Amino acid sequence: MASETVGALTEAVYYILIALMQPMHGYGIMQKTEELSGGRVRLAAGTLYGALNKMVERGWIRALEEEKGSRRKEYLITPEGREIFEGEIRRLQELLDNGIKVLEAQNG
Amino acid sequence: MAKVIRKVFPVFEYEREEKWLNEMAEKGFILQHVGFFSYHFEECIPGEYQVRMQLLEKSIHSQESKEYISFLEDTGIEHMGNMFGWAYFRKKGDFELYSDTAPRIRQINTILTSLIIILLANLMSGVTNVLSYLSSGNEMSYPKVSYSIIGILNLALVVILSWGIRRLVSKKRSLQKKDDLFE
Repeated sequence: MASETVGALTEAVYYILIALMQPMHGYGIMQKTEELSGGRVRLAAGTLYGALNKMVERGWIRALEEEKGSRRKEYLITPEGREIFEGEIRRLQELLDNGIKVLEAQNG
Repeated sequence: MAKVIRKVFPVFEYEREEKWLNEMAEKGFILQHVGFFSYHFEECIPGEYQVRMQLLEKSIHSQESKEYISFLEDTGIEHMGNMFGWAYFRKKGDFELYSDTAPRIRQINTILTSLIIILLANLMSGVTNVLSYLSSGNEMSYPKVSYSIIGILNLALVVILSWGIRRLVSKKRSLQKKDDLFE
């Protein structure tokens, strides 16, 4: 299954997928990411642009039909993107579980 | 008060160029427009703006570049002009065009490819001219003098380019090293 073979997502891609659970344009994604991470993850516009194009190519997100009078393109996650996202959550959960387990064992 | 400064930076010194533009902004002069080896500044509050440069991956007139630049503009970045395939941007406050290293490495690779081609062309031309100089008899003649001048210029350029290439390669290595432990 695709979601099992992708490896770790970058923080940028992970937050883009979260942001695109609802339709959003580039600047909105940057703001959402900064807000969710408490200012820790700041997506640079060039990096975001490259990531969005690659994710559209892979079918993880899609560009929405542009509305009249609006020149900003909006994007939305696809079912494939959601699958990738869920796979990543499982991968992160495993890392987290194992980390916590070993810490608990050490601390008694 | 507007200000125009004429200045030449070799392509492998693009970081020094960007640094200089940001030092100008610190002093209260922000880039307004770039021309042929000339930088036009307007007054600003010192430190208000930051400048970033980028070698565009496609031609400036291509649809891809236009889309890219308009995407940046939607995030509040201003496009101040282009020079030799480089685009110049400014924005109020701190900003970066990239938060990952892959595009920076790609940019270095693009510059390296063209520098290496120019270096090889100059090396061939330099060697050919020096050989022609050596085999053109003892008498000083017009072709003989021009062989030596062109040959020396070619070889001097080879030395400068090798130096620039070495700097870019070490820059690339340090970027790649950062990549190993962190994404």
